[in-house]
Amino acid sequence: MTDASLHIQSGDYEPSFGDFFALLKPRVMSLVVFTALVGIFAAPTSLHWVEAFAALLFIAIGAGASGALNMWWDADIDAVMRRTAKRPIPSGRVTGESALSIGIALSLLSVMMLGLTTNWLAAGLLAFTIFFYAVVYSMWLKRSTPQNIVIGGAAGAFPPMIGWVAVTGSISIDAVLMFAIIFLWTPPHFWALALFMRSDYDDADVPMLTVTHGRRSTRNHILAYTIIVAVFAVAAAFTSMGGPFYLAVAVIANAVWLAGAVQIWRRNEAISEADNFRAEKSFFKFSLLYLLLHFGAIWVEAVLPAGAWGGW
Amino acid sequence: MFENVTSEVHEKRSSRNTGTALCLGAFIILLAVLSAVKVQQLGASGSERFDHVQRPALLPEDG
Repeated sequence: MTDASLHIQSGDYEPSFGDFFALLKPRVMSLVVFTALVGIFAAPTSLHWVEAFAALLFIAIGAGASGALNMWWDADIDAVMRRTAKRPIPSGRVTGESALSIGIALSLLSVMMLGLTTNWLAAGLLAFTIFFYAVVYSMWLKRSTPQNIVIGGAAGAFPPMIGWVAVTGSISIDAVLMFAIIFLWTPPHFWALALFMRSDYDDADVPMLTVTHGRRSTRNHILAYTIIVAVFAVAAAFTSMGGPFYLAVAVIANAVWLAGAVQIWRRNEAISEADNFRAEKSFFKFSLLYLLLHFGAIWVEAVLPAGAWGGW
Repeated sequence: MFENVTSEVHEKRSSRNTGTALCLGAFIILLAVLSAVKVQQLGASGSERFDHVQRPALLPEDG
């Protein structure tokens, strides 16, 4: 037994700065930073670069704060799932009370500072996002409905909209489409994960679609959502943030993703288990690239000079 | 073993304190720069609103 494990068991483990930072879910934060940055860049007006940097920082801190509140509330099920068992609270590195305090303090700080830096509509959206993720998703929906992922996905979809609103001060169709792409992308992304990580969600008693409605139904849902998100993703090409470059990327990425969804839909459990869920795993991996490609293309459209590939 | 544990505890506390100090320092610098940018954006006429003296622009011209 090492000294560290001795401390964890006796409850007096001394947390390092990194343990507290891990509460903010740095990997999720990096996605938030990327999508919010695209929202800021894609907006038709601009902020001073210091204001843009500060806005991005406070959106990221807000997202981190909601992550800490989520970890505080979900510590019991995190301890059961293999994927989350090493998080700071279930592994005993940080106490639940510390996570709650950090989550509340950073939530207040990020909302207040975003309002002072940009505008109060953006700050209100950030506050709503934190509330939605910590209360509506984590405390209410996650353990009560198989649609948890669908509605909870909204929390992850807000950052580009907040970035856009921070610059423009208003919500437009472009911001709504950026929201829609992430919102509709989230369910097939997580359901594909649930198909090949099934024991995790079963063990934690989380009502994932795979558990409540069966795996056949989950495959059908993945295909349906992939078709819907493809419509929205391609439609975004014809707004002010889109253009020929984005259209080309969206058509190719959605064709590949749809082909993956059709493959998952056509398979059954026997085929999936035979090749260790190869199609489901590659669909999940491509889903990460899918988001990166779409938002990367929106960014490129914002940077390219109008008339060439940039805009219509 | 006791010495090892103590030094590990001190190391972690030190990392925590350094990290917190750096974050606070960066936040203070950001606030200062942000304030300077906001004031600059107000321009000359905008900043007159906050100096609690008569606005020169409103004074009647001589003669």
